[in-house]
Amino acid sequence: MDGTVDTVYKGNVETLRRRIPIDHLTTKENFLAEREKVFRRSWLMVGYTSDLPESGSYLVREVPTLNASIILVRGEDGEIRAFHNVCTHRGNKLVMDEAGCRRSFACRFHGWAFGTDGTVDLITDEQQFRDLDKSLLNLKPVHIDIWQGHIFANFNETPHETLAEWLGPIWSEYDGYFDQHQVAVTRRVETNCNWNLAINAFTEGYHTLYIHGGSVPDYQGGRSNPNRHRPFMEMFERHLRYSAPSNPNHVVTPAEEVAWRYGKPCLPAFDGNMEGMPVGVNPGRAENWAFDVMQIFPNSLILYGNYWHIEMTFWPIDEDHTLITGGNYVYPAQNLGERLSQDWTLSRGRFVLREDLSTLEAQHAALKSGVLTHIQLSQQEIALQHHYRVLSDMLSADQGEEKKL
Amino acid sequence: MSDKFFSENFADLERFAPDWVIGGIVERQRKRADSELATVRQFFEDLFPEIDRIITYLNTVPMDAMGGEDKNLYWLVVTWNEMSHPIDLKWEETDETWSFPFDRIQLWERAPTD
Repeated sequence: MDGTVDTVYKGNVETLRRRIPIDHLTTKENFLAEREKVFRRSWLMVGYTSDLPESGSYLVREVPTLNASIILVRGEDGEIRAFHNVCTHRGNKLVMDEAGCRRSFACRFHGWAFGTDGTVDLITDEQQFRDLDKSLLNLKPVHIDIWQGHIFANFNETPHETLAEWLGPIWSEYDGYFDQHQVAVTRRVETNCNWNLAINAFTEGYHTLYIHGGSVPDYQGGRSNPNRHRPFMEMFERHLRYSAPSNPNHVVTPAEEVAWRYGKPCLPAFDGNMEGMPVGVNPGRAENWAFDVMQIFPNSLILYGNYWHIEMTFWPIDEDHTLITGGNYVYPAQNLGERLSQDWTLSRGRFVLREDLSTLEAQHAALKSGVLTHIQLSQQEIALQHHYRVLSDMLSADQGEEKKL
Repeated sequence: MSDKFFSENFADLERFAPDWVIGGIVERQRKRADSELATVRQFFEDLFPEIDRIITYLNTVPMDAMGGEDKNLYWLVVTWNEMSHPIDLKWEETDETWSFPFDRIQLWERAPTD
C-alpha cells in the first residue's frame, strides 16, 4: 500500500518564511555581522569531557570564526576550565600541540609558566619587571559550561544566558544518553562553502531519496512513507530537532547481514527499540523511528539513534570557507566481532557523508554568481526555515535587545 | 622474523596478503577506488565463505591483547568491509566518482585495541 506520513510540527511555525533571501549570504559584511552578533553571543560546542580524563589533561581548540585558539584543561581540582591560548606576557601562542597532559604550560618565548588553573606561576627574571601586578597576568579565561559531557564555550565578555537557559528544554531531556557511546572516529574537513549552506545540507531529509540513492537506497521511508516525510519536527526558541523514518521493508544485503550477525544495527540501519531512552530521543515517539537530528544553534548538529550518535560542528572560517569537525560515537564493543560490525557501519557512513558534502561547493559558487536571489523551501525543509529565522532575529537585534540573546 | 601474515590456522588466507590487509582508513578507500570492480568482487566473494571462521576466532581474542597476526586478520575483515559496499549496492564502479573526494576528509580512527 502506498501511503504518506503527515509531519507533526511542534513549536512556532507561524512566522516562518518559505522563500529565503540568500543574495547577501556570502558577503564579507554578512559574515562579520554573523561573527559578532551570532557566534560571539552564542554557546558553541568545543569539546567533550571524555577527552580530558585526568588532572592536567588538555586539548587545544582552534575557533577560526573568532580568530581564537583556546586551551581546555582539567585542573588539579578536577574542574574543567578554558583559557585563551595566549601568553599574557607578549601574546605568543602558549600551547602548540593539540592535546596531552601537563601540570603547567610554559611559553617557549621567554619561559613564563602558567598552572592548569590559569595562574601565572613563573615569571622568569622577575626582578627585572617594575611595578608588576601579577593578578593582571593570569591566562585570560573563556566562559564554559557542560551539558551531557559536551563542553560549550561562550566568547562574550559576559554571557547573557547560562548554557542551561540557552539550551532550554534540551538541557534536561538527554540524561545519560550520550554517555552510552564511545568515540570511534573523528574527522575534519574544510569546504569552499559558506557555513549556512554546509549545515543546511544536514538538516533536512528531502534530499535522502536522491543524493543518497547510491549508498543508502532503502533504509528510510518505504512503501508506507515513500517520500520519507519526517514524522516529527520541533522548533525551540533557537534550536530544533526532528525524527527520521525507518523503512520496515528494508532488504538486508549480504555484507550487512554479516555486520548485524556480530553486532548491533547502527546507521544506516536502525533499531527503533525505545526501552530506557530519555524523553529527548524520538521525542514524538514516532512509529518506525530511525534516528533524530538536532541542531544546536548556530553551528552544531547531533544525529542520534539506538547505539550510536554523530556530532558535527560547522565553523565559518570566512564567508566562503567552512571547517567541519566532529566524530562518530558507538556503543562500547565487547569483542572484536562487534568492532568489525561497527566498522562496517562506519565505512558505509563515509559514503553518505561524502554525498552530503558533494553539493556544497557547487551551491556556493552558484550563490556567488548572483543567479539566485532566493531559495524556496518545502515543509520538509522547515529546519532551514527556522535556521534563517533565528539567524535573522539575531542579526537584527540591537544592543538593547542583545540582553535577550 | 616470520614473513607470514596469519597464524598456522589461517595459513590458507595468505593469498589475500598483503594486498587486502590494509590498516589505513584512507589507504583502504584508495585501494577500493583504484581497483577494477571485477577485482573487488573477486576478493569479496573469495573471502566471504571465510568471514564467519575469522570472526568466530577473533571473538576469542581479548581486545587488549591482539598479536600481530590477529591484527592482520582484523584488518583483512576491515578491508573486506570497505570492499563490500560497491558489491552490496550493485554499483557499476568501485567509487562514486562524482562525490566529495574521500582524501579531502581527514579521519582519525581508533586502534582495534582501543
